[in-house]
Amino acid sequence: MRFQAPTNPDVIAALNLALRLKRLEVSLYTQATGAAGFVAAGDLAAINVIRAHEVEHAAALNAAILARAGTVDPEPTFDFTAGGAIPGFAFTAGNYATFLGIAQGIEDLGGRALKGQLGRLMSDKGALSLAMAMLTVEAEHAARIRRLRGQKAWVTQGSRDTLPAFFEPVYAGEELALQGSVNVSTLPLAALNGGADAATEAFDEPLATADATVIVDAFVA
Amino acid sequence: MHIDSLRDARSRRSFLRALALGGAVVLVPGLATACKKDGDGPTGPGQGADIDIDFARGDVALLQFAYAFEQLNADYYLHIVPFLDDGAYTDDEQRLLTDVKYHHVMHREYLKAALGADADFELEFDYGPLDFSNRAAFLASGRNLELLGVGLYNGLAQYFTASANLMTAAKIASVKARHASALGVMIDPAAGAFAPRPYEDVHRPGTAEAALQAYVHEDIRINNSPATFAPGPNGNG
Repeated sequence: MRFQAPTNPDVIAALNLALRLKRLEVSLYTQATGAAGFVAAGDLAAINVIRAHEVEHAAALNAAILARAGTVDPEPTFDFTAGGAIPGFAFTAGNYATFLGIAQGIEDLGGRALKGQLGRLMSDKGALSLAMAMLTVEAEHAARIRRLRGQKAWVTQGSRDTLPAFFEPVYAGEELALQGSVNVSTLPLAALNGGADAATEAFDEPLATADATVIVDAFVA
Repeated sequence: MHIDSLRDARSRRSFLRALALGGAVVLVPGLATACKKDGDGPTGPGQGADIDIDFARGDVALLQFAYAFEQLNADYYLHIVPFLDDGAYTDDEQRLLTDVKYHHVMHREYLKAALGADADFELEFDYGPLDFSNRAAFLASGRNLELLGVGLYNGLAQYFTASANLMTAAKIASVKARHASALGVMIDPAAGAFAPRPYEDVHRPGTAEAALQAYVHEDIRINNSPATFAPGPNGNG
């Protein structure tokens, strides 16, 4: 039997949570682009780009887990009404605006959830670099979807903007102004530079494993 | 001339600069390009005082590197202020660029406060022929700076000792990626400019330093650069 260094189970768990999010996104965009005429023509190129990235990310995470002799979690089936919390949603005419809202919530969630896993990846520099390269693209996606919806590309305070109440936990905690021991909103130049709004926009907060898991699992059928 | 200007690294840099300028190296006036310091030497990137970032200092050095970069970012957006309402930008775009400017000031001021006595340098910048009144030029190099910042933070991530510092870097990198996306849409709304590749870059410290140095009057020197590097999926360091 070939010797294999044991992989920290925390690393595998972190990669599996990231994979769960990526599978959620792949399912969302695949169903959207698979329903003829569902995605607005002007948005289709962007949605296709995002979908292709998510497919790539899911494959890379799958491979990263296997390369570390980990076990890939079974693929769940997703329900984008989130068990009825987003009532009546389907990939059908009349639901496109709701779809974009779900996409925004899930992209913003994805970035926060990935950041929440970085601490568990500190022992595995390859996985950490992968996560950084991935979470920054996730932020690009989130910004694009937010702009498609006419929102700012960044998150102000802890606001979910016009998203359904279901998404409140995705944004809870984004209003943090305290970075380490520094309150950014009260720094000498803060008042002249957007104040507390800008101070919170300038930092994308992480989401703890348990909090991220609850939200993702709400989409599991 | 200071004796340390004869160091190998300095000479190599002068050599590379000469090559980058397209001239034959023999036309460079000896080591004059390395003879500088504080005021009376030639101006341009790398010609000012030395700024040493010593990776042996651990997280402090990483935050100093970030502080240097955020000084550049904040300075860059101050240059757009006089041109914002010249008609090249919609009201929405003006708000967007103003937000980006604010965010960079927040990043710089945060790092300055977090570093305390170690935030002991203030850089001057040189943008070459860049015309800040030109929308396309401003947005293109602004977007490049955002992506450079993303790659810098992504690459520094692996060297942090304190998880809180790693997290701060990730929080800032994430917002820079949002900036890059928004600027990409302003440059080309129809294409995939908002996210050009499935992964953002993960830069080696030296790669990020060279890119930063191109804008900075002072000579930024990375000392004790880590021997190991875990590349990202783009594999380009």
